[in-house]
Amino acid sequence: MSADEEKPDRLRAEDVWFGYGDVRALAGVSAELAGGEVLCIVGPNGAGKSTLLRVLAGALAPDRGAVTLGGRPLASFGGRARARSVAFLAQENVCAFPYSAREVVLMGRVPHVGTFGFETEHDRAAAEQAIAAVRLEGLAERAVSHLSAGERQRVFLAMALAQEPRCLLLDEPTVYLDLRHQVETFLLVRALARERGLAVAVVTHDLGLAARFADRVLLLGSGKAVATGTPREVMSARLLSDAYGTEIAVVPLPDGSLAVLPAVAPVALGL
Amino acid sequence: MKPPPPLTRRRWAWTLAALFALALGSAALGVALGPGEAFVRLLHGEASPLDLRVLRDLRLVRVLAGLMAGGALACAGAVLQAIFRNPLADPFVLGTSGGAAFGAVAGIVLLEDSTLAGGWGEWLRGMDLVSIPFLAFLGALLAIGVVSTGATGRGALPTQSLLLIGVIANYVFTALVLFLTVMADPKKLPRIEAWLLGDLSGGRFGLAGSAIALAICVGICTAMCVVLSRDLDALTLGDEQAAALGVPVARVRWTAFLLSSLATAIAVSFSGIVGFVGLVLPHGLRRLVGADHRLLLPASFLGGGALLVLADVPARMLFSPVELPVGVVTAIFGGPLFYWILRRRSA
Repeated sequence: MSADEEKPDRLRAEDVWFGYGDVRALAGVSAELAGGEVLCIVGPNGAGKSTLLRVLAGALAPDRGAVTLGGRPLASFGGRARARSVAFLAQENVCAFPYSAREVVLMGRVPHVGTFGFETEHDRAAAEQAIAAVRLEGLAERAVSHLSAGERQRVFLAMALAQEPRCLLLDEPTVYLDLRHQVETFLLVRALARERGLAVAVVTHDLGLAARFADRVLLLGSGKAVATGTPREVMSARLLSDAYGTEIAVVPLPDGSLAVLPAVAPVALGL
Repeated sequence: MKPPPPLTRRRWAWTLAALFALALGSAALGVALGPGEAFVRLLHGEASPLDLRVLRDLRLVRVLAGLMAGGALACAGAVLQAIFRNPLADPFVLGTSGGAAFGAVAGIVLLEDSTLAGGWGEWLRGMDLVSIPFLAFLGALLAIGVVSTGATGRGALPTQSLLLIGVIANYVFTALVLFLTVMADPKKLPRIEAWLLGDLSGGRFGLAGSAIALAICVGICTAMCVVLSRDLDALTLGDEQAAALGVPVARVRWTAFLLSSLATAIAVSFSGIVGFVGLVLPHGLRRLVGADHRLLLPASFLGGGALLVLADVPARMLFSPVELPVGVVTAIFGGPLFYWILRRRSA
C-alpha cells in the first residue's frame, strides 16, 4: 500500500464532509480512484454525487477530511499543477464564441502552456491525439457552437484528454446523448482507463450503464456512502430500491451483465 | 462559417504586422487629409509655420487621440465580452462611461460657467489638471470604485451582480448628466452633445499629453494581452471549466475588470463616449482573425485605433467647417459595414 501512495494517479478522499451553508451535502464519504479503473458514482438526486466529484477535482474544499493526489494533499497543488494531473468536465459545456473544435481541444493545454505561451510541438501532438481518441477528425475545423450536443460532448472530452491527466472526472457525461452515444462514451472512457491507465470517475444517473461499464460503483445516499464495490456487489435490488426510495429490479443478462429497471407497477396515482 | 485554423506564432506575427501597417497608414491619412492644403504645401517644402501648427498640434494630436481611444475601447470591449461570456458586452456596460460623462459634463457646466468667472473660476481654469479630460477620468474612477465595491459581496466578483450594478450606475450617472444638461447654459449644449457622442477635437493635453495617453493605453492593453489571454480563452468555457483548467478565476476577473475599466476611463476622458468601436470591432475581428485572445486583444487595439482615426477623417471633412462627432461617423458608416461582414461570413 505504501508504494501506491506514491502513484500520481491515486486520487483519494477520506472521510470528507461538505456543506453548502447549512445544507450538508457530504457527511463522511471516502472514495478512491485508481489508475486503469472506472468508478461510477451513483445515487438519487441530492445524494452528493456532484459535490463529491467537485471535492475530488479540487473545485470545492471539504469542510473536514482529506483529499490527496498521489499521497499529497490536493490543495497543496497550484491550480495549473493540479490541472496537469486531474481533468474535470462539468455536465453542460457550451461556448459563446466562435472557437473551432480544435481550438477548444487546445485549451486543454492551458495548464501546460500558461497564459501567454504558444503551443509547442508536444502540445499540438497531445491535442491531435485527443482528437483522434474521440474520433473528431472530421469535425475539428468546425465552430464548436455549430456542433450537435453529442459532438460537443466529444470535443470537451478531447479537451480533458489533451490535458494529459492521470485522473479524469466526468459529471453526467451522457445526459444529453442518445443511446448509441451514451454507450460510445462509456466504451471510450473504459478504453482510456484500460489502455492509458487513467483513473476515471463518472457521476451518472444511468444505473444500467454503470452496471455494464464500471469496475467499481459507489452508491451515495444523503451524503453518505451506502455501498461500494463491484457492480455485482452494489447493484442489488434491495440496496438500490432503498437508496432511491422506489422499487428497482436488477435482472441478470445473458452476457453476464446486469440490467437495472424501474419495477413500479404503472398504475394511476389517483389524483 | 469556418473559424480560422488554430493560432500559430507565424499567423500571430503576420496578422499583427498587417494591422500595424493599417494603423500606421490610417495615421498618415489622418494627418494628410483635411480641409486646406497644409499637407500639400508640406510636401512641396513650402509649409508655413501655421501649416506646421495645423498638422502637428491639430491633426497629429487628433490622430494620436484616435489611435489611443479606438484601440483602448476595442481592446477593453474584447476583454469584457470574454469575462461576461457575452459578445454583446461593451466597454460601457460597467458604468465607466456614465461616470466619465458625469465628470466631463459637470466640468463643462460648472467649471466653465460664466457665473464662476470670478477668482475661483479663473484659477480653476488656469490649472491644467482641472480640465475636462481630467474630470472625466475622475468620474470614470468614481464609477469603477462604486461598481467594484458594490459587486464585491463575496470577494469573487460575481458576473451577475457586477453587470447589474454597472447598469444601475450607468442609469444614475445618465440621470445626473441629464439634470446638469437641463440646468446648463444653452450655449454649452453643443459641447456637451459632442462630448457625449464622442469627439476627438477636445483633447486638451496637447501633443505630449496625447502621446503619453497613447503610450499608457498601449501599456495597459499589452498587459491585458500578456497577463490574461489564455485565461480569457478558458474563461469563455465557464467559470467552473476554467477553474478546472487551473485558471485563477477570481483573480483573472478582477484584473480584467480593473485594467479594462482603466483603459476605458483614459479613452473616454480624451474622446468622449465613442460608441460602437468597443462593441462591434472585437465581434467582427473574432470572425476575421479568430476568437483566440492572444491575437484578438492586440488585433482589437490596432484595428480599433485604425478604425477611429479613419472615421475621424470624414467627420472633419464632410461638412467642413462643421465637425461631426466621430462617434456619429463610426455608427453611421461602421454599422452597415459590419452588418455586411457578419452576414457575409455567416452565409
